[in-house]
Amino acid sequence: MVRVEICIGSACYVKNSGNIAKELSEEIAKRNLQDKVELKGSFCMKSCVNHLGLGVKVNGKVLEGVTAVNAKEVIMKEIEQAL
Amino acid sequence: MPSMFTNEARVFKFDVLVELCRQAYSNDFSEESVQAKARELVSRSGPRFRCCIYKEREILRQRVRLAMGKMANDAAEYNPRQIVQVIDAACDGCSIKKIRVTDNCRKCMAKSCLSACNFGAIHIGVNRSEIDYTKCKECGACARACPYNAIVVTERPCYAHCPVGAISWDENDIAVIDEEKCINCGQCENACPFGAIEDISWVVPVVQLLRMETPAYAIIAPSIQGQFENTNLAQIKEAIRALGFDDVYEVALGADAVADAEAQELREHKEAGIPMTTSCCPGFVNMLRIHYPKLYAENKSTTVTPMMAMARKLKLEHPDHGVVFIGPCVAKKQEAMEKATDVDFVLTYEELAAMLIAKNINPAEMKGEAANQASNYGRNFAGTGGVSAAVVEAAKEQGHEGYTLVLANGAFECKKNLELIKAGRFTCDILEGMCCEGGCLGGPATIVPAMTAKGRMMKENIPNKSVTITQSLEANTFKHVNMKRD
Repeated sequence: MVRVEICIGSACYVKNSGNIAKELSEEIAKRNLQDKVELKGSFCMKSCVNHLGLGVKVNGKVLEGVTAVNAKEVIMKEIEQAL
Repeated sequence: MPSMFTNEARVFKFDVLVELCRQAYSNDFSEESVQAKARELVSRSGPRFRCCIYKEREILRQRVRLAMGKMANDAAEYNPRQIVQVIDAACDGCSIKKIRVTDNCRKCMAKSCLSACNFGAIHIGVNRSEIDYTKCKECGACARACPYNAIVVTERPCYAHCPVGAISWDENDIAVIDEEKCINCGQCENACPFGAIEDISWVVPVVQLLRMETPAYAIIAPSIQGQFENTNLAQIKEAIRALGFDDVYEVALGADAVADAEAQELREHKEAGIPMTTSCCPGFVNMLRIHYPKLYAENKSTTVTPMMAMARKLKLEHPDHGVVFIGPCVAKKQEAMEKATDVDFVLTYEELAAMLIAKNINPAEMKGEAANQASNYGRNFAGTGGVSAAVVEAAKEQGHEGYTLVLANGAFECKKNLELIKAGRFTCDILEGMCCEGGCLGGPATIVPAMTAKGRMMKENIPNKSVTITQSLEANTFKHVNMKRD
């Protein structure tokens, strides 16, 4: 099971992380990965304070440089590697 | 729940929030879907409040943006710290003359107005006195002189209620907030009869997180008691748990800890001969920080707010849980957003009520097992006078007494007393600053009038009155929590 956490804290929400979470869950459903990937929301994971971009964790690993534009691509790639 | 507000501008704001929450709880949620749904709130058969339905729709669009955590004005640069914002489409641009002669003028014989004016701006017209606005200096001397009160002094409500002079208007008379000066106290929001000044809301991300079953605690401000009719604190807590929060804590517990810490500070201040200002009202603290930096450094208690104390305690004990504060205050939103604090989100009572309605939860129908936790001193932080009373009580429990106090009830009294301290003419030991009249119970985002809530609250708390601050802190220790504002 791959556990993906997306930060929907205030700073990330403003950068559209709410929509990204929704798009990602649709993408996961489209690829029939619901049984293998668990998508969770998260309160602030301090990625904003550490200037890492949007807060995303895949299996506990904090991703860096995620933006609203590349989010889906970067996160799906990370999920594929983890599977 | 029947309609809770008596002010139609508030009713409309609330309708938007309820619709937004309903959408946020549904599956196909997006800004477009909310905007489309919200448009139904504007009647097609004709405008209800404005010149045309197209203006009403534009106002609604901006309202929805604000309620979704965006800037009301599309072009404005994002500044999450500016909580209170002008919905420019909704601003009526009140271009009122400050001094006006009304029908009460009897064109009397004495003509006191004429002699009171030092600028020759008054002349006697056909039916009544008239003002020459090219000469009028808006001093108000004529209004004071008239024995019939026929001359009135009126100011834009937003401008008149801003204690720090942060409101001005542009060339089209639309209100503008100076973000450098604004303390986010929300007095202008409360005052505007057109509902043109509102606070940014975080209800959407909170609903989204709760729907994803993210572990979260709600912490509720003391003033929540009495906000819902025939509903006690235990029922309110249960209703909030039903929204998806893992547990609900009273911030009054944090208030007990703050009173205890401030009592120690008070002793140090008294020994040094410096009056102490309280630290729990974020609007008052902003006023000190922005407009009286010297007093902020010297006089202000360095203790954190009760909200922050409670959030720190919970984050220390349960780092995996989010903390959402629910209160009557818009300045608290700014306090939580100031830096990466331990409070993740701040919701208001209005937003809470909207969430409850969207989920069809009626707090009055909850079973609600009584769980008394905090002392009445902590709970009374909600009303003016409560904070200093709690600090004095904590000092007494620590074994020192004899403090004098001044209650600044409302933003203008806060300002007046701060000026006194600045001038070295403040003679008491404690200045309790509350930006809202009546304290938090009179906050901009409360549901019922302050006096109603206060009555209900005092009645409910009678059985709890023997609990002391020391007992409360023994049951819920804050020893491991850093109580200093950094």
